[in-house]
Amino acid sequence: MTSAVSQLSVRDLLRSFGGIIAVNNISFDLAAGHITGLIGPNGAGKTTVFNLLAGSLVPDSGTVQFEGQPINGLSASTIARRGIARCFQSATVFRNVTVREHIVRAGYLKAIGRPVDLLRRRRLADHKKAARDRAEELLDFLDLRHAADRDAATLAYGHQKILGVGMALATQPRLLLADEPAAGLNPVETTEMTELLRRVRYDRGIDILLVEHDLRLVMKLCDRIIALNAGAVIADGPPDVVRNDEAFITAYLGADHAS
Amino acid sequence: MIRRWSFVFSVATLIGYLLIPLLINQIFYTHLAILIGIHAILAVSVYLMLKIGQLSLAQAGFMGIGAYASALLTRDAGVPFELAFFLAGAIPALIAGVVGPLLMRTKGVHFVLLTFAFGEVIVLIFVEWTSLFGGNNGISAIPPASILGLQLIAPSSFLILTAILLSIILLCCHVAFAGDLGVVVEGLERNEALQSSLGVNALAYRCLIFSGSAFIAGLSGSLYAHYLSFISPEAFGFWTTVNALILNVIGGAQFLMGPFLGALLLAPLPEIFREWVHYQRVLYGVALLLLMRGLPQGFLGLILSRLGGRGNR
Repeated sequence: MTSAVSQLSVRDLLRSFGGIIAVNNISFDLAAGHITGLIGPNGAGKTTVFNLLAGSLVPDSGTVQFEGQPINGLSASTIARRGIARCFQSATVFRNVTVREHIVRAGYLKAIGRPVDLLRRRRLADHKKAARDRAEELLDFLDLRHAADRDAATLAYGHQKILGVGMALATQPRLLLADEPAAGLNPVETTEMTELLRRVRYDRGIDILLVEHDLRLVMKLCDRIIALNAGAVIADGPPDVVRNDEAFITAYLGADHAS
Repeated sequence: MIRRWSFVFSVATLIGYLLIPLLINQIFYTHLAILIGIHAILAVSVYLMLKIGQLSLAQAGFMGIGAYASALLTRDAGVPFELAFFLAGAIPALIAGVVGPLLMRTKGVHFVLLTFAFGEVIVLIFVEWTSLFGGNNGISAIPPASILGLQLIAPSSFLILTAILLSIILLCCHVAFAGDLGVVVEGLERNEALQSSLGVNALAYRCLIFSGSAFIAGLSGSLYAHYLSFISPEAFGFWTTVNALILNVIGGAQFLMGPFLGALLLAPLPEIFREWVHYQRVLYGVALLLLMRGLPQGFLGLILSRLGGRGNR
């Protein structure tokens, strides 16, 4: 697959909760073709930035542009239809539904994004068929073929998280927001997830922005890291540069460890 | 397996209900059966909201709008019952469609309180706007229901109408939820954030369900008005919605047939306890406690778990 022109531009993004400023006028650009890690200690504002980008929160001020179009203030569903997908910690939404059907549904739900879409039966039938074909291909890509007909709720936690990535991919995004993809995984599962995300980027050409606490995974997987602290960007660059950044070391380990 | 049992049981219960007027010719039981049907329809409207994980306390208010609309349209404007019945659903649905985008942005306790306030405002309007709604005295001399010019004066004929309408409403809900709408609604209940990230406009669907539930509540109001031929604001207060919620819990809030079964079990109780008028409320309360204690998943949950494992749908 070819890489689409995925470019996210964040300018002076501000969001506060009551008197607490969670995201303080941050700006950054994501050029196409990267896996970018958003890291920082607890309370740094990572999840708030994610929620602002995905449309789960509305910024107090600032702009977000995706592929040149402003998306700040748009609903999560509209942003999803624009090509930004988010994978969640748990993806098993439906009761008594197989892994395959979860991926199929994720693939056609945007075709019934609004109630009026339910009336466009022929268009929906086309979307469903395409979603079924895509699901078969994704089952192989995710290495979940062996579990395709199992109730998704019975999957091991690691496979549930892979299913979450698969459901996000089923929406055919150009940018994937991965929310702590390795949280709760054992070392083997973490390695599998790391490999999967690498293949998402390099085999399918989908850019990734991830929030992750596992710094080893971030350093290994990402080709760019944006470090936040107290709602502001304190370091930005390749892993080797950020790893040795004084502000980053101070934020994580305290002032005593900075040279 | 569970689904099959659930379907068989639902159809059997509905057929049994439809046969009541043919099998029993006693006016008291016919009266009870009509009340069961009307309460069940209101309870279905509560069920729709529960289906998206929301508790609306405005449902009795919507029932009231339907009741007053149908009564005034047929009595004062000469509108035929068939059209008035439809408008009794359409008017509250329209109102819900207008206020929905405001109310549905809130969730949980906030939504419950907002809908409580909205329902009380509706009742206040019935009380205060005396020139149109007759105030606390309500309105009387509401003409009986009529289909194609045939007046349904006999309770048994009204019961047939109620039973048919209840069946149609249940069938429509079943068909709607068995398809793509059901997929969306289940996702909204279980993980709305994820559903939104997959491109579903959650607010629009929640408003649709809110309007649909108001439509059904309005229909129950129309039946109520034309059956009793008298309505007053007190019938559409907060407790009427709470009773409809109780029918869901007792019948099985996770099943479409739950509200109907809850009504079958509970609606007759106040009438049965009427003989012991001084203890009526106490007896009703004790019966309710026992049923909730004995039926944690509702009546249908118990039956399905006995028939074929754990009832989960």
